[in-house]
Amino acid sequence: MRFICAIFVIASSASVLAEPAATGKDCTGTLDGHVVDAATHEPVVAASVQRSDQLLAMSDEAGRFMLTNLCPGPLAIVIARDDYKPSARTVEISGHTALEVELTTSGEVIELRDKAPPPPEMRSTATISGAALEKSRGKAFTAALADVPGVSELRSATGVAKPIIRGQFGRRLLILVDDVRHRSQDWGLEHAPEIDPFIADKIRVVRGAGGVRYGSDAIGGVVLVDPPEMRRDVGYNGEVHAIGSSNGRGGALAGRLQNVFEGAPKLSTQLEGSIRKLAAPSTPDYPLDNAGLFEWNAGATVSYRRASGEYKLSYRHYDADLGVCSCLRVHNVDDFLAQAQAKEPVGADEFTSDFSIDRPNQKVQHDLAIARARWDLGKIGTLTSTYSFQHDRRLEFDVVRNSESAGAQFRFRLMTHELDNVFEHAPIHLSEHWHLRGQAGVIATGQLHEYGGLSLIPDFQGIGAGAYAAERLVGHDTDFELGIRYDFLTRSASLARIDFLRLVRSNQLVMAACGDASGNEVSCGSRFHTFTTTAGVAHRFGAEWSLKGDLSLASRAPNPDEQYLNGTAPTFPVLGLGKPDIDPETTYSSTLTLAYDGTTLKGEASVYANYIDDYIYFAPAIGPDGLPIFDVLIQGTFPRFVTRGVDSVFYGTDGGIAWSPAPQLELGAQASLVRAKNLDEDAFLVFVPPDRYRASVTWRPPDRWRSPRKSFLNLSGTYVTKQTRFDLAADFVKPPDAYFLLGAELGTETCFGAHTARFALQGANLTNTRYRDYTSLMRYFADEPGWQVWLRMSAFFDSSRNKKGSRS
Amino acid sequence: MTKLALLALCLAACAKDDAANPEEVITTVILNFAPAGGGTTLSFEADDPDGNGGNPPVIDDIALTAGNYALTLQFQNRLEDPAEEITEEIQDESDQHLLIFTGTAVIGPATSNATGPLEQSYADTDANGLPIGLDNDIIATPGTGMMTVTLRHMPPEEPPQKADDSLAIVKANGVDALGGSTDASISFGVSVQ
Repeated sequence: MRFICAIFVIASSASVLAEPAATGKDCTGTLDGHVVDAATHEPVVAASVQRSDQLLAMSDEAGRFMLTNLCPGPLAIVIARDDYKPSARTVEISGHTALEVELTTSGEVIELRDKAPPPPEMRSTATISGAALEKSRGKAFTAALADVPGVSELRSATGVAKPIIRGQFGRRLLILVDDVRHRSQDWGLEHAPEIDPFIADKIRVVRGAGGVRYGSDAIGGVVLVDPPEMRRDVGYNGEVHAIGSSNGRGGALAGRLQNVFEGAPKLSTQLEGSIRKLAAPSTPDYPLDNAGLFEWNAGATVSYRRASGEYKLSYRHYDADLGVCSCLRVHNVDDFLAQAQAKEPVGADEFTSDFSIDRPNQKVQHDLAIARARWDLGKIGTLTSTYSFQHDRRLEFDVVRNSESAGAQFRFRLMTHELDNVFEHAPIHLSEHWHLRGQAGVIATGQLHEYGGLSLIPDFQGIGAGAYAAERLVGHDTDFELGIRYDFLTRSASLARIDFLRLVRSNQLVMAACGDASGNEVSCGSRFHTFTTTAGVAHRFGAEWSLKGDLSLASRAPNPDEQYLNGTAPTFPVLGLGKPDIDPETTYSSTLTLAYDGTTLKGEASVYANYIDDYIYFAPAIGPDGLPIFDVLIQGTFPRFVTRGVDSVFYGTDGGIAWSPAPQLELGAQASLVRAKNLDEDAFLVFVPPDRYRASVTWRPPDRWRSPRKSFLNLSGTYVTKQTRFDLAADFVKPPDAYFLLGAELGTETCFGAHTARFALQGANLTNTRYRDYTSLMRYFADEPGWQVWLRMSAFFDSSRNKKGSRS
Repeated sequence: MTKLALLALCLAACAKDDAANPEEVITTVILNFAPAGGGTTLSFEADDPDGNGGNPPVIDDIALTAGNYALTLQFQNRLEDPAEEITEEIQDESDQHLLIFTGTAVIGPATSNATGPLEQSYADTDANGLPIGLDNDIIATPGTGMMTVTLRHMPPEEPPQKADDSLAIVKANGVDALGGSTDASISFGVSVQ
């Protein structure tokens, strides 16, 4: 029983160890190889590539290797690693050849397919998987992203949050689940993405303009939640997680099972589910009354593989009941301001931390159904076609009279149909050093939105279509990329006459703008044409240094709320009014990223600057006299907020380093700084994260410690400065003070039989610091939670390891 | 056409929500002053028939002659036709509601004013023996000022609830020191001759 639950921690970045001797001037062929596990499709790191007895290369962390100066003709190679059976393969070399090798633990090579691995990402991208992802199990989806430089959280008054990347969130940041764009109510500050973090096998974060693949509104970045690859060989594998937490007492259970049955080896199935229940968390001084949550998820996926393609069906359901802290006071400006300036919430003495969820609360459901087909078209390329349907239901319950029978005060339903076709052409070999990769796609969407409740946002329907193409010239040291995209959107909103007249009377809309406005329902239409272009270059200096740069121009059509918001917002005591005829905003962005990838030191630093023409901004309305406008309502006097286009600029820097001065020790540091300015009014923009610094130390026992050698102890500190750049009229009160948080984690790994179990004890805010966060809605009402401890147990099992274990 | 296409694709879940007025919109607050010795009741309104935003509410000035009055309050939602009476809902949950009378014109349990044209005292109590404020006694003496009428909803979900010190808290630290949320808050000009 050797190597049963071994983990390879090999930081080998050099892929070419020895080159076959060049015997003639025709020997200019290259072989671009990618070694992956047949079951999981994870890269196989540190596999050797041999010809006869000569070691040609080792696969790197991405499972890649590159052979150069190859002579034309057949080349016989053997790809091997201790825990996989060697795979022998003869490749016909002519020019540039790409090869994917799938290794199975049982030793059979079930398929060899000429498919090139994807080239390295052109943008600054962080991938969270394995141990880093496990750290965030049992917490909100965004907690997994919090260690990525440039990323912070926008926390709501419930236990959930949405990510902020380089100062952008919500509408300007895309989240994709299994390559399908997550469609939900993402505009309100209290709307968090309805995503179960347990479905992810890895999460990728693209910082900065996301290119043409994902859409014209990927201005701030893209978060890709990737489920695991489907299992490919007969057997089963899976994982189970159990997490308990001390503050916000409660915990989570989650599991996933992948199966390929012996009778149907081409059919692969996956079942997943999770459940999470937390009581209201406590600040150092008082509980956040009613802020508990109950969340569950279930999903099933079936895929069928053929030699020339793959078909996949999947369905996921997310369901949550989120309690809103009873400390929220948003129904009246005086109450809100008095609370924002008070040390603790009114009635904090009576607050309790329990599991019951009363009004105010939110009930959220999200369904995602995907049907995907991939066809390998031989030498032409690959065509992938995805149809998805999403149903997003959000009910918000306010504190009302007759609360037993009153139902929800805000009722949203959004349905999205999407058809996404993308064609990737096979690499085109141009010369001995250059080849071309590219993709082109067309997308069609249909959206239907229904709203019921207090005047806020209208029903609408939208039809959209888009087309894009991106080509990349890949060289040995240098890559160039060009992309272009066009989107068309037509949207028709149906406004109640009273809501229409409110916009007219508030000068947001002219009476004649929507044609006949005499009926009870006024239909307002709009059409948008938006373009995106990107250009990027990446250059490697030797094996360790690399530099990437990209420029992009992207325009984004306004969201329905930016056009039609109409009423007192449920988050702030403001009267919010959209601008139905607002123009798209156009972002000109540039990023430069320098990376170093050495054996003991790794680091990356980016600088970026974005100029946004007509940035759509929701901020206090200013009257002709230059003063903020207030509206007298029956509930009191409210400031009026409107959406308007202001020219603005975002710029900043972020990066991180990891240094291993000794094999047992790893030191890490990260920094994120972003600045933003409203150029039209020479004012600062609201909810731009303050500067953030993080440092960590990880210690692992030396190998001679045998059993606990896969243990670790990690200490981390996060320092967030006070935001000194703010606009008091839009922020209402001054930003909170700077704070420092201490965290620690102790983890270990053990084998039971042929399987793996991991245990971890994790703590956050260990000094029980009282603090408020500028990018948390809670900062107006109460402190953030005090110290917390999580206990995590995870088990990973795999039938193929079982078999191997019993055989040896 | 596009609507048809979308509807065709829409699943069974597309039934439209129509809960019966659970939004508790208040558009209108009416103050009825009935002279103690009999005579015509004087009514003053704050009315916002188009709801929040758009046209601002029209708020009557309260003009009285000196004397004793019984003041009753009425709340309506005139976005509905006929207007929805909300007063009964408040009465039904009177242990969670408190009407608060503050401003320069008011001498009463919620203010510290020594003088003012309207001396207010509560004339109704809830099941716990605490004041509600839908019925009040007013002694009007000549003078002018402002009166702010606040309808505070203090349900058990949002501690602290209505208690015997609620009015003392308002007197000491203002309405915003009280728990719960504000359903209506209107300032009327007052002149008594």
